[in-house]
Amino acid sequence: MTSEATIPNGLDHQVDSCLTTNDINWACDDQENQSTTKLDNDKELILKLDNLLLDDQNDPEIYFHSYKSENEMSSIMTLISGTLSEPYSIYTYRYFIHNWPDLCFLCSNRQTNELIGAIVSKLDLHKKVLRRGYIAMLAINKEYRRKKIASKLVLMSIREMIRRGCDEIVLEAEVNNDAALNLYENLGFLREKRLYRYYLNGVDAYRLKLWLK
Amino acid sequence: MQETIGDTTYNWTDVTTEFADLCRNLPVGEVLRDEDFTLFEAMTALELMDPKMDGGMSIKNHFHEQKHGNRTLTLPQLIEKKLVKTSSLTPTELIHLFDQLLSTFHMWLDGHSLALTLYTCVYVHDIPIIEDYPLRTICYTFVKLIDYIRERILLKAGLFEEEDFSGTLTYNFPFYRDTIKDQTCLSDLKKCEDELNKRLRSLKHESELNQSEINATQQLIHRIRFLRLFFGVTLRFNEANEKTNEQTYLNSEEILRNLKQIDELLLLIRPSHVVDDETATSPDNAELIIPISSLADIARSFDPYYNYRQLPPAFNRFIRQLILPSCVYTFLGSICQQLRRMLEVNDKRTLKQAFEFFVEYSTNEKPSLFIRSLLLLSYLPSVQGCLLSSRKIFGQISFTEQVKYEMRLFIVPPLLTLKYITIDQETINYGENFFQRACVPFSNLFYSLCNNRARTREKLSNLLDEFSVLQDESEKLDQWLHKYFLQHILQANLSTLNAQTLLLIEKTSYFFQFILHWTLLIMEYYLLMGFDLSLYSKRELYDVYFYFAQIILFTHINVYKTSTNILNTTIPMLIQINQKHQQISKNQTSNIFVQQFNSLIQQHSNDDPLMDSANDSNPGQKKNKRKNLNGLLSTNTDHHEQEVALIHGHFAMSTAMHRCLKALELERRLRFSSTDANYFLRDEIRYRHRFLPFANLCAPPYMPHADFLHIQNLSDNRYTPKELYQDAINNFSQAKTYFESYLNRLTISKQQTLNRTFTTSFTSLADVESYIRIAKTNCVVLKLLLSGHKSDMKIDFDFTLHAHYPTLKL
Repeated sequence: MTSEATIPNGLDHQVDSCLTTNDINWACDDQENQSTTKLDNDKELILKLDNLLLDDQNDPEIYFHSYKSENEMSSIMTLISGTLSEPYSIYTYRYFIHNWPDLCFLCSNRQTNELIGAIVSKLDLHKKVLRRGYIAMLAINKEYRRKKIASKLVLMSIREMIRRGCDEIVLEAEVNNDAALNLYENLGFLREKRLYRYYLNGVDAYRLKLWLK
Repeated sequence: MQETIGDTTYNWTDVTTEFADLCRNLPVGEVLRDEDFTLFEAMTALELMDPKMDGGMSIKNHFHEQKHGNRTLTLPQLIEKKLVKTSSLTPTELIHLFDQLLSTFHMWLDGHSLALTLYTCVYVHDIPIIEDYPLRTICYTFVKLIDYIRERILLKAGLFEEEDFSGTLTYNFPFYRDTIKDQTCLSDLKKCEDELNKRLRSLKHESELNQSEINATQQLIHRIRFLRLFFGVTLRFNEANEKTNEQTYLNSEEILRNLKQIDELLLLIRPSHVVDDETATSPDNAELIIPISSLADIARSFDPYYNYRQLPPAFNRFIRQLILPSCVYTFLGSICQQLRRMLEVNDKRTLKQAFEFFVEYSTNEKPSLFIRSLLLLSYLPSVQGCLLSSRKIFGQISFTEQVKYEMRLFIVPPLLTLKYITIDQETINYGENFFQRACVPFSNLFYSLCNNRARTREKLSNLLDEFSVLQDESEKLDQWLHKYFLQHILQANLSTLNAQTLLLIEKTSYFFQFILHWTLLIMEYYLLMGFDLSLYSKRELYDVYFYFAQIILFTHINVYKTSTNILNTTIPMLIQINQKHQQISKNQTSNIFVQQFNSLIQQHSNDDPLMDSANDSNPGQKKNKRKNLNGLLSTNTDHHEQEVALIHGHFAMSTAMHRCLKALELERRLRFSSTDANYFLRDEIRYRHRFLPFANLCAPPYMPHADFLHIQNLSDNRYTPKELYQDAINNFSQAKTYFESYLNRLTISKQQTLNRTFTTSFTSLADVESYIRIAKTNCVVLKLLLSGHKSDMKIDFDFTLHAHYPTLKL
């Protein structure tokens, strides 16, 4: 529906074929009725997401893009390992980003091309029946906080997951991480479980989940 | 090049340049890998020389030492190089080592691995070659202590998950199982103690008293005695008779006596404190100061990196400093207190009492895995090859007996109360089958309550599935019995039959009601735990409180009404029937089920609803002044009195909550809304998932979201905010009244309640006190809102007073 050309929010990747691929993927599922309802709901969600992302006046300083090549890997790693407490080897980054490059969204400074924010996620089949999205890492450079960059990255990731047909989205967040908890809970994520001593430093975590179906 | 690590010598070839050259041929982003080794497997890889991942890089000194060729030396090597001493240790040295070992024990109990705790002590790796008798004995004891706790307690209880305990990994560490037995350790410790006492006496008789040596020796004696008592106490838990493998009874008196002695010792022990400064003193002499210079000969006795290379890669590799002895001894004091408290489980003789104890204990004491395991094993000791549900309560009472007795207490089913009826084989089988099957979820209930709280909630939701099956089974049993018993009773005697009572018995689904009662208890606890763990978002509160009040509690109130009615109405008749047939049957109980739990009835004859009518010369007399199971005076009509008061209290609180939430929503006083533009969770989907554990139950029946909305509509949407506020105020006042009267009744019989928090179902005294305060505060705030105070201000919810119900904040 939307043209590929100039999109004011600076989204460089293709928004085009999403709706057509939807039609193809799900027309064969289940009964006719069920699949059209699913379609409507997801279409509705995606529309909602598109509007949200378009609505926002973007800071001209920054632009959003998705992962292109291994060349970006080092800056992603530096940004994330600098902000998160858990240690990840390069293979962890590669596992997520090489397998799901379309679910890795980045935000950079237009002038310097410095990487400001990154989200790393995946979408997999859980216990053979559930399509589960998982947000593995989200990090924003300290100097660019409170500019809604994180929300945008999360929205982009959620949108892509819904496009691909996702039943639920999960992630873990430390119990004291109010910023993350607020961010996700305002989007509809609920605390599904409490995970005792989840992190290496002995801190509890919540499993946050957004149920879509 | 050659390299020797420990006992092995390696021959290395450097291929760095060749490797780097070949890598240049790979394009950007290409990965070379083995077929079966995907990126997923690769995630467990470590990056060499990354301090967060590579063990050898963690500390500068260590890496430094490695560079200089200082490998991890084994104990024989250390002895050979005279780097550590194993004979003629001074009391001070022994005290230091003892306190360090105790610290590793504490950390291990806390969940850290053996490799990073006990086995960082070099002595423990090769105890037989230690010459010093006290040191050797102490080392063996700590190993045996940990081994026993691991094998007989933690593994047998099976309560741990990944996050609690990494105890299944033993790294091929020696446990000396064949070398030395537990009892030998105890006697060796006694010998050490005796020898040291002898030494102490001779020291005191010397012409020039060496006070510091005397003090040190005395402190060492205290420690060894402490270790002997503590190990002794531990060995009494889940003790198995070596020959028969049968469970021996828990001797709680003996344990309590030993705990008292341990407490006294802990007062005498001065925790050691190692200082650099020779002249340092401890304020009020509470600690035993040890200058580091006096420990020179044993400086290498602990090496935190000793086992580092053996640790699995994706592991909690934080090396922590050993906890200070003063903290360790405080911790041990609290362990003893918890143990003492935990032993109170031994006088919990009904499932309900045990349930309340378990709930109270896990909420208040917040026990560690060790204590939780001990609790489970004290209540349900393990037996080789035996399922949880086949275990005997306290090693004495069969679980089926206990369950049947519980059913009798709750709702006096004729099957379990008429003593002198003969039951046909088919009915016996039917009944027995049901009772056996009931043991599984009930025993699992206690198991679930002993997990860490986060896991408990998960397990409770699984338990509800088991209870839904049990609900089905109970219905079938009731149907079967309806046909059978009616005939039987009719045959038995017509004159004592009151038509109304008969009708009541006819209509009642005894066993279904019982199972429903417990199902509801679990549902309530599950829901409230969601609050305890801070899982519910503010947007959910309306639905949660509504469901809690109007579906769960409402049903439960009816179950209590049914049970109370049955107890009041049918008991006199049942007693009469029993009395009538006593003579004829020559006092021989023919009802096989009643026979089975006869011992339980005898033990609790005061509390039995039927009260042994054989001893009753004047049944009318005793009727009104019985003490119920909680030692409180109660009249015949006061069955479930406390539970009913509390449940009405909860019902009123939750109703008040959902009414005022609706009012706040209508007045737009809430800070959030689920119709926000960027809120992606649909109400119907949230409803379905949140209440999924309740979906399979027969009762309360699952309600699709549309129906749920409908009853919410009927209940709340027809009213104006003012009416809703007023109703909420009324409900909060009612709640306050119920809770206050509950407290008053308890304080009337103070003797029983001294020094205990008192829990009924899952609500403790402290809970009730908080609820009252919350109700009061909310009444005040709501009155303000009713008057239109600050109409533009949003309301917030504050759960700090109690996690279950918030106070409203302007």
